[in-house]
Amino acid sequence: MGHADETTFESFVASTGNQTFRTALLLCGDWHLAEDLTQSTYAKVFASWTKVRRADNPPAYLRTVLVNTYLSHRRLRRSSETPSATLPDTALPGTDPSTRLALVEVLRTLSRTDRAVLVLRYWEDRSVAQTAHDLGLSEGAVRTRTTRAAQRLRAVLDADFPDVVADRARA
Amino acid sequence: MSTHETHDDLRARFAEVVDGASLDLDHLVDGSRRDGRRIRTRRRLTAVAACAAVAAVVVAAGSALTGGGGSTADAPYATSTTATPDPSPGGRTTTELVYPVGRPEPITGRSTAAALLDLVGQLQDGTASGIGGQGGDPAGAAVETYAVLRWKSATGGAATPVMINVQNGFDPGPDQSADPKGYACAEGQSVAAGTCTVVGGSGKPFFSCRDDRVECTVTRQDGLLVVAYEEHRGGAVDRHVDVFHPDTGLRVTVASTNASEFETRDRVRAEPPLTSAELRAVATLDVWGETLPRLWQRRGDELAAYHDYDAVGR
Repeated sequence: MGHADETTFESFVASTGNQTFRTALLLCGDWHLAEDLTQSTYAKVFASWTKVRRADNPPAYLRTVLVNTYLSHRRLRRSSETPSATLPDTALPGTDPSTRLALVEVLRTLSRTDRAVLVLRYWEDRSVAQTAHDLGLSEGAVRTRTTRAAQRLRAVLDADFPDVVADRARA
Repeated sequence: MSTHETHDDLRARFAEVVDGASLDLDHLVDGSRRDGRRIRTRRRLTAVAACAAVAAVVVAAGSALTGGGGSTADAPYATSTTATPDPSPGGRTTTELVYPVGRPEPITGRSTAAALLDLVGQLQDGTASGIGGQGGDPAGAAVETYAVLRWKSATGGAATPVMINVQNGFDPGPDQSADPKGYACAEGQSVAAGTCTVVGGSGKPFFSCRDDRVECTVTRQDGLLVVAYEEHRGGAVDRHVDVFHPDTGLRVTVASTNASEFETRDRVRAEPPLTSAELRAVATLDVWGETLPRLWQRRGDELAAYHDYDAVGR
């Protein structure tokens, strides 16, 4: 790989890195696992950089790698490690810790596929068709999973954290 | 709540969760490049292995037909690694090293060994065996670790030891770093040619060019005191780079030899596998300290044939 390609990879990471990390954070629910997932994702992208940079939509390619790596990553971890699904103790600026932890806790109760569906649909603003493509599901399956997971998320949040929900409703 | 409201509400909640979350993108680039190169290497090795498997079948078939015997490969007894290939033609000459991002973990002998294995693998194609180490103290304030491996360069020659010693809180004694005697050599200058500049004059034992050291230079690099030297015993050469951080008391020593063991005369290859520049690149890396990245800790824990010198001594 020549220097020009590496510079382009750098600029690609610069423009997408933090958004990718935030998506990884929502998928993993753990800061350090998200770091590992993000680096693993970009390593795969770098290994195929010639192909990625020529793709019609490199960020979409990146997202697909991220999700696939997340799903396989979790499968591997389940067989060998106990994931510590926690966010860092350090509070992020401008974040209500109770809301943050509540949402992470609820996300943890979902299957990894449902979690990926929610993150893609609601955080990445992917359409049903795009999410189906990203996850290799049918559009019907994505709709079903989205509805079911979102209802579960809302039900738990509304029941267990009424103050948080009320605060948001007043805001 | 409508679907649209649910969408907006959950998106807002997700945004709250990750608000302000960011990574060191420079480290992310470095780590991704390094791991990405390894992925490429594995792909190539897989392709080569597939070809070799086909060839082996052909050879085995031919051998069976002719009644010929096979040979046993001289495989390392411990783990082995193949280094990152140099993207430029003509072999690897870069000494640019990268290390993992991620949570720092207390340094141990195993993580130090994994780090050494990783870094040497970035510098050269080759295989490692005889990996071992010692040290690391969860309760200690001044943790010291040691790691060693036998490196067999892909370019040939016998496997010989490469070692690293990480000493946190090293006390060099008075004036060790203040005025070392030695030579400051610019590029193209050498001690042998007498073109280097003599610096200092106190001649302290650790960070100076003592009489028993040859090809010795003392330089200051980014606030660090760096002593590079060799010890010769006949044809045997131990090559060292000794780095001292005056601000933290951290000392990192990295060495390579062309002998079967350090401090012996049993020369088994022409030169030590690592050059002084390569040793310097490892020793001056800003990753060393009381912690190492978690990835190296994991890899250290996974080393199958790690020799724990602490355990042997107990």
